[in-house]
Amino acid sequence: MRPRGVRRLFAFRSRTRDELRTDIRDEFQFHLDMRVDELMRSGLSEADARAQAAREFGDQQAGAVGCAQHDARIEQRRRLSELAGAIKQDAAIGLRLLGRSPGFAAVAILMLALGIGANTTIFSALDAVLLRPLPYPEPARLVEVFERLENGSRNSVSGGAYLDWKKHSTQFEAIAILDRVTYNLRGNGMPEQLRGIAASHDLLQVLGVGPLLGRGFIEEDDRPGGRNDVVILTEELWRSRFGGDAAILNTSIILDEVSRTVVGILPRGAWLFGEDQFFVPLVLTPGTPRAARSPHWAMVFGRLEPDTTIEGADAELNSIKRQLLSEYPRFKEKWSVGVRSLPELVVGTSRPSLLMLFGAVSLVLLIACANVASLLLARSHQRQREIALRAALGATAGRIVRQVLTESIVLAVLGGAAGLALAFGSVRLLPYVTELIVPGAPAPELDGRVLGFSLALTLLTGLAFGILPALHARRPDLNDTLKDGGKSATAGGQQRAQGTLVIVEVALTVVLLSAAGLLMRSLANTATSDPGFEPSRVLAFDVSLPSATYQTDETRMAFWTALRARVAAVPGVDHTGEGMAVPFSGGGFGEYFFLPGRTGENDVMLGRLNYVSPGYLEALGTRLIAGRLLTEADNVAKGPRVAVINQTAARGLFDASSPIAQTVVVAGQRWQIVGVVADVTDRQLDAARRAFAYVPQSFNPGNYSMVVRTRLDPSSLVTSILREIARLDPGVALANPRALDDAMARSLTPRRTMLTLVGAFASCALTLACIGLYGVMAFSVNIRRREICIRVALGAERAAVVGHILTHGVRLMAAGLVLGTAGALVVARLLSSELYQVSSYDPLVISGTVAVVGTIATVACWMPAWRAAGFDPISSLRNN
Amino acid sequence: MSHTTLSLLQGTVDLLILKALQNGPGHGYSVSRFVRERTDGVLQMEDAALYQALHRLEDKGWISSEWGLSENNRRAKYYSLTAAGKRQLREEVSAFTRYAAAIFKVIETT
Repeated sequence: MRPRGVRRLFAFRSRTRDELRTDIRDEFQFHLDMRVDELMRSGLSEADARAQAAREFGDQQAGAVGCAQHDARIEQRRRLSELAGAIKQDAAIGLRLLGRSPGFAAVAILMLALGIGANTTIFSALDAVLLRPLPYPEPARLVEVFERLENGSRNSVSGGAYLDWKKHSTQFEAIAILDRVTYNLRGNGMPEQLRGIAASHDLLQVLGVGPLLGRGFIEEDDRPGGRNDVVILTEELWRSRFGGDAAILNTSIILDEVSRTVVGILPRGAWLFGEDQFFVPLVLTPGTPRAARSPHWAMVFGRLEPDTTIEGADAELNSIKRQLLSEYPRFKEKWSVGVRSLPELVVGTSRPSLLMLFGAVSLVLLIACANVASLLLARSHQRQREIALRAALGATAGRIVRQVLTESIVLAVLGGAAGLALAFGSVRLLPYVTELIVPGAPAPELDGRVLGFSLALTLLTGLAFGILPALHARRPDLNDTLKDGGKSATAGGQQRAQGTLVIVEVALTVVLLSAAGLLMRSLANTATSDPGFEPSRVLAFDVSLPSATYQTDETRMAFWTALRARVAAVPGVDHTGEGMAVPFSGGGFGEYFFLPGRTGENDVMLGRLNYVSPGYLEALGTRLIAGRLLTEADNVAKGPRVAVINQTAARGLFDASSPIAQTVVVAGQRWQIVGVVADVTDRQLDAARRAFAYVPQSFNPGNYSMVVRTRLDPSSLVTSILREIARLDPGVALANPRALDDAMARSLTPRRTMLTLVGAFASCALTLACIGLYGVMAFSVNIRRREICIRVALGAERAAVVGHILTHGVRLMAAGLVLGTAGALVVARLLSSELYQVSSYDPLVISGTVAVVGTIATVACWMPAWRAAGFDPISSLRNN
Repeated sequence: MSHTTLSLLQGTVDLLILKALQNGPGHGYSVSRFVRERTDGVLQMEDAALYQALHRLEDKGWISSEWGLSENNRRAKYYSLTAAGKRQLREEVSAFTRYAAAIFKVIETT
C-alpha cells in the first residue's frame, strides 16, 4: 500500500468536515507546488510558473466542492469499518480471556444457558397459545355473538335471535349458527359415539377455510325441506376411521341411524374449538322451537365486514333487538346482544397461567444475570492491573467500557447459544406440559419469532450484567493500581455493587418461593375440598340416542328405564342412575331460581338445572340433608313437578325456614321441593358454589350420562354394560367411560402442573441465589484476608472475626428478605385469580418462605466465614 | 499540444487514472504527469477535474488513499488500486479496445 521509501504518518482517528476541507486544500497545494517546481526547473520564473500552474489546474473552488461531496461518504465508510474492526478485535480478546479462565466461563455460561433456555422455552409456549393468531384469514374480524342476560352475563343464543341478526344486520360478511351434537356412528362392530357440530351453511365462510377434498356446505344443505342429509368429516376422522380413502366422497355413512352423504373433508387444524369430528347442516324450520326466540341453545360465530368494529356491530345488533322488541318474549325485555372477539375467547382463559409462568422464569433469568454480574465484578477486581495498563497506554474510558461490554456480550452469546440448544430439547417436551395447563393448545415450536426473542434476550442479558463491571472499569486509579500491583485495593466499589446484587437476588427468590407456596396451599385446598359425593368406585359413561329412531319422549324414557334396570342387574352393581350434568363433565342448564312472586333483583339466583333419574343421587353417594330423594314414582310422564335442591339453593332462597314442601320457580316452571342435598361438585373442585336443582328425567328424556356405583373396580364393568346396551339397541354407543375418582384427580392436573413448574423455578432461584451469596462472601473474605490475619495476629478472637464476617452477610440477606417480602405481597395480589381459599397475605406462606430462604442463605454465608477463621496468620502474611 | 474536449474524456478519465496506478501507488500529481508524458502531451487533463475523478473513484471503492510523505518530505495523499479496482481496469480496457476497434473499422473502409 505504501510506496517504497515513504514513511507513514499516524492514522488519524476520524476527520471533521473542516479537517476534510483542509485535506483537499493541502492535496491541491501539493500538486501546484510540484508543478511550479517542475516549471521552474525548465526555466520559468517563479511568478510565471505559478501563473501557468494555476491556469493548468483550472477552477480550484469547483474542484474542491466536487471532491468534498465524495469525501463525506468516504469518511463515513471508513469510520464504520474501523468500528467493526475494533469490535471484532474486542470480541476476539474476550474469547481468549474466557478461554484462559475456563472455570469461570463454564459456570457463567451454564447459569446463562439455564436462564435464557428456560425463558425461550416458556416464551415459545406463550407464543403458540397467546400470540400466534388463529390460523384463519384476518382473525381480528372473527367474533362470537351471544345473547346477554339482564345482569350482563353471557347466555346461549336462540334460533329466532340468530335469524333476526342474519336478516337485518349489515355489518357481517357472514354469520353462522352452530351447536354441539353427539351422534352414534354405525360401522362394522360396535357403534361409536362422535362429537360434531351442526352448523348453518356459512360456517366455513365465516372461518375462511376451504375443504381439503370435495366441497363445503351450500345454501341448499340447510334449507328447511331441502336435502339436509349431508356431512363433512374432519381430516383426522377421515384418516383414522375411514383410512384416508378419497373414495368415501359421495358415499354414505350412518350417523344416528340417518344415512348421510359425505360431501367434503375439512383439513387438519381447520377447526380449533373442540374435539369435533364432523359437521352436519343445522336446519332452522320456521315455527319450531329451534327457530323461535326462546329456548337458548346455540352459538353464533361471525366475520365482520372489512371496515367495521366490534363496538359498531354490538351497537347495531342491540338496536335491531330494540326495534323488534315486541316480537321477543316478555322475560327477554331487558336482555341485550353481546359481541366479542373470537381469538380473545380462545386465548383469554389461558393467559393468566402462561403469564405467571413467564414471570417466574424471567425472575430466574434475572437472578442468573445478577450472579454473572457478580462474578464479573470479582473478576474485574483481578483484572484491575491490566485495565490500568491499558488506560495508561492511551485507551479512553469509552474504549475500555466498550471492550468490557463486548466481552460480556461474547459471554452472553455463548450462554445464549447453549440456552437455545437447551430450549430445542425442552420444546419437544413442552406440548405435554402445555396440554396439561391449556388443553387443546397448538404445539409450541421454535419459529422465527421465538428465535428473535431469544436473540434479543441474549443481547439484553449481556448488557444487563455487563454494564456494572464496565462502568466500574471506566476510571481506574492509575497511580495506585500500577504502583503496588493492585494488592492493597480494597475493592470497595465492587463489594458494594455485589452487595446490592445479593440483596436483589435474595428478594427475587423470596418472591418466587412465596408464589410457589401460595400455589401449593391452593392445590392442597383444592385437593382436599369436599366434592359433596363419594367419588371412589363410581363409573360414569355417556349415551346419546339417535333422534331418528327415538322420536318421542316415550321411546326415550323406555330406553332409559330399561337400561337402568338391566345395568342394576349386573353383578357387583349397587346403584345406578342417569343425569345430564355428571361431576367433572359439564352439562346441565343455566337457569334462574326464585320463589314465586319474588322476582326482584336480589331474590333471583342463577343456578343449574339437572334432569336426573331415580338412583342418580344414590349412585353418586350424595348426602341427604332433609326430606327425600327422587323415586321411580316421581319419574313418570306428566308426573308431579318435584325437585331436590342443594344447600346453596336452600340457603339462598330460604333463610331459616325449611325448604321442604315449598315451591321454587326454575326455568320458568314451578317445582315442589321434596329434598335438600349437600352441594355436589359441578365442573371443578375450586369453582364457585352454585345453586342446583335435580328434577325428574321424565321432563326431558334425551341424552344422559349414567353413573354406576359398584363394589368392584369400575372399569371392569364396561364390558358387561356394553353387552346390555347392545341388547337393547345395537345402534347406540357407550362413550367416554370413566371412573369418577380418576376424573377428579385429572381435574387437579392443571394446578399440579403449574405448581411443579413454578416450584422448579423457585428451587432454581434459591440455588442460584445461594451460590451468589456464597460467592460474594468468599470474595469478600479473600479480599480482606490480610486484614483478618492482622486482626488475629493482634489477638482478636477467632469467633469475633467469624462473627464480624457473618454479620456482614446476614445483614445483606436480611435486607433481601425484607425487600422480598414486600415484593411477594405485591406479586401475590396479581396471583389472586389462581389462588383457592388462601389469602394473598397468608402469614404461614410468608413466614415459611422467609424461614427457608433465611436458613439456607445463612448456611451459605457461614461457610466462607468458617474458612476465614481457619486462616493461619503467619503464613498468610508472609506469602502476602 | 492539443487538448481533447472534456466531453470525450468523460468515459476515459477513469481508465487513465486506473492505468496510471496499476504499477503502484501514486499521488495526484504523478497521475497527471504520467498521462502527459505517456501521450507525449497530446492528452492533458484539467487537474481540477482529475482530482474530482480521483475522489469519485475512491468513493466507488476502486482506489484507496493514504496520507504519506513524498520524496521531498511534503505531506501528500497517495492512491492505490483495490482488488475491485484491478477488476474494473481490466473490464474498462477490454471495453475501450472493442470500442476503438469498432470505430476503426468504420473509418478505415473508404
